Amino acid sequence: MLHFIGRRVVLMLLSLWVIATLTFVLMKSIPGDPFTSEKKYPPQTIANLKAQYGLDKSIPEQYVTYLKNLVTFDLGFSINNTSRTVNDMLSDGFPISAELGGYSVFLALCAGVLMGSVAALWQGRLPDYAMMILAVIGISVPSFVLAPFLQKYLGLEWRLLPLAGWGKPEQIILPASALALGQVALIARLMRSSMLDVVTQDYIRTARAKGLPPWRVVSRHTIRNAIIPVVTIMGPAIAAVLTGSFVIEKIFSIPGMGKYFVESITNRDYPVIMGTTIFYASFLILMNLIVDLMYGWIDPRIKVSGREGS
Amino acid sequence: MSTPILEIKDLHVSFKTYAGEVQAVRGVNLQLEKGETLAIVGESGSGKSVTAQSMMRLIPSPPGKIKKGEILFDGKDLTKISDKEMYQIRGSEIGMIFQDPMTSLNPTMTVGKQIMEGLMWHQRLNKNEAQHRAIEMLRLVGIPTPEKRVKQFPHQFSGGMRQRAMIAISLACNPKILIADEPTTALDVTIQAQILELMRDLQIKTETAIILITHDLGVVAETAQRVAVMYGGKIVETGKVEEVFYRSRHPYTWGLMGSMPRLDIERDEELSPIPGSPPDLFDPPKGCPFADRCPHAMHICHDEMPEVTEVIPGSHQVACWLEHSEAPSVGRGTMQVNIASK
Ligand SMILES: Nc1ncnc2c1ncn2[C@@H]1O[C@H](COP(=O)(O)OP(=O)(O)OP(=O)(O)O)[C@@H](O)[C@H]1O
Ligand code: SF4
Ligand SMILES: [Mg+2]
Repeated sequence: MLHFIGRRVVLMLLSLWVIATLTFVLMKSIPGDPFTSEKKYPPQTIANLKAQYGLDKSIPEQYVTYLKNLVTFDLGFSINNTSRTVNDMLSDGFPISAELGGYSVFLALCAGVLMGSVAALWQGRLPDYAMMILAVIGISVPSFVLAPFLQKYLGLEWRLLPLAGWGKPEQIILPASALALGQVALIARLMRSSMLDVVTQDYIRTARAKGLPPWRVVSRHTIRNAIIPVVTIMGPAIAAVLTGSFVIEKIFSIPGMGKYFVESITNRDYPVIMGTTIFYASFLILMNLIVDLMYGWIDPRIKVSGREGS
Repeated sequence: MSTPILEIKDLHVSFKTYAGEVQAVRGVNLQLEKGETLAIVGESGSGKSVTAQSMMRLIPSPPGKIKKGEILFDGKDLTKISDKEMYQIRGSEIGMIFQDPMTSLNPTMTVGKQIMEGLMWHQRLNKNEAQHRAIEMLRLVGIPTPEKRVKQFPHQFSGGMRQRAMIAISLACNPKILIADEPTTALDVTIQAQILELMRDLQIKTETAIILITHDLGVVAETAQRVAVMYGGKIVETGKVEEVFYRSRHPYTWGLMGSMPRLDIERDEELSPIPGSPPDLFDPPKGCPFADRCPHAMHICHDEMPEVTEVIPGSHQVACWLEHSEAPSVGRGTMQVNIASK
């Protein structure tokens, strides 16, 4: 178990270094810099500013400083908003994004598993067709198209839920649903096919031969085994929700990371771009590690969890 | 003859497929006595598993359906009772084990829980009692250190141990009948012998009646008291093991014996599998199902299904026109000569 996690942490650091380097290279190859703007500043001011952010040094030197700072978790100051460090922005915005993302992933998982199971159990009948249609819609309609729709009907016309904003529990429902729908569809489809595969397995026949009634067979044997492939796509699902949330936050005026991220790119705010990229990369890698550990727990045949083997 | 514990009368089972209706079982009659082992033999596709699964009402449905017939158990017709009543009987009164122990256990549940499940459902035991009993069952089926093993998952068991665990699951509630569908086919030869011995021991201890489906006539000879020979969805011959093995009356049984390896006689020639192929169950013949392959087939065999003849009343029965008083007398030896000369 410890051995497994240790190896994974080393791999994690390695991937982070690659990501950090790539971000750095990309950043440097974009034309322009944070001080490119319509207003003309005196050259001396620009030079001073560049010196303050270390942009006057040679590129290899900048790279080394950048890595050094990363290792000490010092992501530096924002260039556009000089009073704030990138760490400040992350601690302001990320909890909100994480909450929205967490609800979306949870919603996607519950709804997807439920819908997929229902479709499989009623295969070829009405619930199955209804689910398939919903899945096609969910996969083909992007969340930023769905979001205004939800706002228009549920928010404006029927006044069921608040249009936008953040802070009240009911304000989370629309953005979380918009964000989750695509994943609900993916998970539901995977769950359906996985269930259809599991119900033909010999051990399901064994469970039935024990005299368990159908609902007990389904709840204790079928779903438990069918959910294993779903767990494996949770990593990518979390990634999709996190990146999707940048746009959704904008649409629903949610003060999460999305705002900072989008602004930082239009302003070429190097420290913020690199800081948030690295932060999100580490977060996703960590989530993947957790998903892998979960996988070992849910499927005892996988030996990551350190259960004693035979 | 005492009243049988299970009696199947004129069972018909069909599967609806795109190509048409497969008539897998076409009028099977069987009796199972208390505490005996009845073997069902016959070549692949003859309807053995379908017959066994009908007794548990485990036929995949759709496409499968019991079209006709009765399965009498404990005064009830299992083909007619409600699903709820059937859940009470399955696992509790009739247990079943399957061919492949590698795939028959749930990989995500501990072996102990899989044994406990039936006990908690049927006998309303609490967790502790059930676990206690699960450990006891594992010990009974010869699994060492059962206290440790109950907490393990199937992948931590070897193939033979998994089949032992399957037996523990199926016998946990003390069923009156155990149906074993090729329980040793997927195992190594040495393990096969151990599992069969275990089943024999347990049968003596528990007085469970066993229906044993197998391809292996050696297994039948060692384990069963009675045999039913199936062909083309019908039972063509039944009787005590000695009757069917040494005084068999049906040409298909002769062929089956001829196609088995034997240790007691030296033979130079190859084993003689029965030439030809089994009948088309989409459109089964109206006469004897074996007529196309039978070296003794007469005109009537193709036109009309032979009646069951009681060779020894209440014990040895055979469905063959050769039993008719006007039929020529042929013997088992002729059959073997015929096959060998082909
Ligand atoms: N689910 C099903 N759908 C369609 N046909 C089926 C199904 N199950 C069984 N059959 C048909 O029923 C017939 C009898 O099958 P069964 O499994 O009882 O044979 P068996 O005697 O057990 O053979 P084996 O020795 O290979 O196990 C076969 O012709 C098979 O094709
Ligand atoms: S009834 Fe006729 S075809 Fe069938 S086994 Fe007897 S002799 Fe052969
Ligand atoms: Mg079979």
